[in-house]
Amino acid sequence: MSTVLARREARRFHLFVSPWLIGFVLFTAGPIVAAVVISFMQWNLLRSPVWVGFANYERMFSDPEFWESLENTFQYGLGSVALGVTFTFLLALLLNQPLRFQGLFRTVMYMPSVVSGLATALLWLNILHPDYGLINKVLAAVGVQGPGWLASQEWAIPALVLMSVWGAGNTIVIYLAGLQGIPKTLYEAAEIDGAGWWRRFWSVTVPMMSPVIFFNVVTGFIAALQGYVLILVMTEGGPGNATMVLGLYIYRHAFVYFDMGYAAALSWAMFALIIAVTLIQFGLARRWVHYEFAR
Amino acid sequence: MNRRQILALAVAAAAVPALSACAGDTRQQKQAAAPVKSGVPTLDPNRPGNETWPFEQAEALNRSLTWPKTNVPDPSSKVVITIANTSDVIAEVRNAQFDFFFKQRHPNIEIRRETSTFDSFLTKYMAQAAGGSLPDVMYNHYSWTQNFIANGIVHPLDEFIARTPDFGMADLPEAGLAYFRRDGKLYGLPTDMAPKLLYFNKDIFDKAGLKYPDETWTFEKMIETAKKLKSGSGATKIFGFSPSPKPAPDLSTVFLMPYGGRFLSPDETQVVINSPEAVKTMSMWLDLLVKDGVTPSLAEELLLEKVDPWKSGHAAMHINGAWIMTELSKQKAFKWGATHVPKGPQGRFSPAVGSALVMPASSQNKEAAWIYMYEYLSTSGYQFRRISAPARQSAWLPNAEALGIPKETAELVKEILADYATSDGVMRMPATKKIVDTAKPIWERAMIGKVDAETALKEIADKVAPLLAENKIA
Repeated sequence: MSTVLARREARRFHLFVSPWLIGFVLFTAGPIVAAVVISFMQWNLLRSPVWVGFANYERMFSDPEFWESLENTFQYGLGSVALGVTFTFLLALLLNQPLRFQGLFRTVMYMPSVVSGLATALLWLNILHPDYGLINKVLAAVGVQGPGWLASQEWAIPALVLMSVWGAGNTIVIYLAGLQGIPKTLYEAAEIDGAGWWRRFWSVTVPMMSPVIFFNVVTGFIAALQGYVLILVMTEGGPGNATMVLGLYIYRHAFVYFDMGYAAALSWAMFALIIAVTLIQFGLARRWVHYEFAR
Repeated sequence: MNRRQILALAVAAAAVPALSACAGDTRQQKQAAAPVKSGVPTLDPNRPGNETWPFEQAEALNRSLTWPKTNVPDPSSKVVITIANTSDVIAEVRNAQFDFFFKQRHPNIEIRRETSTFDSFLTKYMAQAAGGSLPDVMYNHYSWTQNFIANGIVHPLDEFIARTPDFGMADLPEAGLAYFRRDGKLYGLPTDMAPKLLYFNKDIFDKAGLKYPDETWTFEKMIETAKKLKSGSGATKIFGFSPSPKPAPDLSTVFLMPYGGRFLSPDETQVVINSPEAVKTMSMWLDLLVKDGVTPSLAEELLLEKVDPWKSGHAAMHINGAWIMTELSKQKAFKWGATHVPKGPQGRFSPAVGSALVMPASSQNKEAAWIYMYEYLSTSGYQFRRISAPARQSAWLPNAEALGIPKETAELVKEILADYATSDGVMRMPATKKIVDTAKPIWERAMIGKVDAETALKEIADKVAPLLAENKIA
């Protein structure tokens, strides 16, 4: 390639990449740097910020509500990822079957993902209502007294976990793409070796899908640890702080109490948490994720 | 079961939640059918109006009113003032009409209107305050203003009031101005102001053959009657009273002060909600919920927050502000009445609450901003806007007549405001939101039956006390 051509290509590359780069610097990197600085300050937006050193971090470690929100976040994250990954994988397996109306089935499964968050929240408030809710009505029909769900401290997080699975259409699409990428020859070879459905599933499908499962686990955890909007709409963190997750706690300090320094410190705690959880997952991944072309 | 059937079952399971939205509680359906009150209407700038507020009627109303004068002069050349308000789509048409006729009276004052929902308003304007770009006139909830005053964000209005001989300060109930005062200066003028009253559903009382509440009622009498009126279950349930009292800015005034208790000390620097008087009162209400099931449980409130049981005819009695009369006067679902809030051993108290317009200190057009504020909040301004809780008492009767509110009810509101309505006990200092957010989850545990009232109130006192440092404004 001539030097002129290389230079032209480089210019075009920089031209095309610049909108994203400018946006990233202004709207992502800038606020990230600002958040670092603000986390060492006391700032209520109305007065000039005051440098307080590590006071916000010290406050965080001695704040029982922070630890409570952390525990809730973990419970919600673990629950929603475990249930979501398993359930959506099973659904993807079903939707991967060559059947009539396959497109229709896939559309129906994807539909909840495009419903707006507020509509989802209102819908699930109905479904989970202890008296009028669909779930408790079904349970009552088989003689089981349903729990209070969002009104119960014990059941509020499980209720949110249950709801989180409903809008997992994107995860199903990723699984479907993965399933369709598994070479048919592997199944044919397994069949020739006498492997039944279950053996083919465990020895071919699961290992071949493990990178996709891993991707969904990692991204699912990150999303679950950051999520708070539906919880804000549905419970505002209640009852009795049972659903006060870290994202909601940060939102409350930043945009309800305008305690920006503390909110920034909490945000860094969330960042550290996400990094830690992700690194642990990458560490564990070596034991169970199968890469076809790994060295 | 073959794989085809399994797949069909899975699809059905996914579709069930969607279908369930069509079933369930009928109260939720009523709410869903309600008109959406958000967004910005597209109006003809030369003839702003719609079916609810026809331009011609607004024009006639504007002509019929006498607009007041101030000694503050109009600008000699064009100025633009920004008005930041919180409003819904219906009221916003009226505001646009007000601006239209205001500009006819003051050709050198151009208005730029910024409308936000209540939920987003404070966040938006706190950010603008940090950026040094506040509007010239700004809405303020009563619980925000002291924080804004303490931080030097808003400008006192006394100098402008002094330059307006016809201002008529006596027409504004002094009881409701304390939220906007500091060190003898007034920083906000109320856009509305109303006491709370005891509302009752006449149909429920008639069905039970019980007499309507009146001014002789005590809280004990109200609770005793509420127990008798509770009936049904599920979607047909009738609550004796709604909602159950919980930590809120005006908890003291409505529910504790009649029994000699308070949430916070009058200067909001000490927690006293664990005093014997407060514990006794809150225990009484908790029993009504936990033991008698007369008020909505936390679970019921969770959904009912979206569909108020009072509004949907599922509560016999309800304490709320006079501002709900606009909506009540239009509804046909049930017959309603209103009377004084019940008495306690220490007397009768009702909070006088309302929001205000303030003038940010950063405004470059303060005189034009004042002219706008004064006309908007004059008797004629209130009449033009036709709200059901005008702070100016001279606007109450004409507005009530226009809105279809019974004259005796309007008179009752005026009487309460003049007689015993107060701002005493209504939290307004900077830590208010944190205090409520801290106390609420603890009280919710009591509502669920996890702890008794005394334990919960002690925990509230312990956790709220450190927050009160924020209320000590120098």
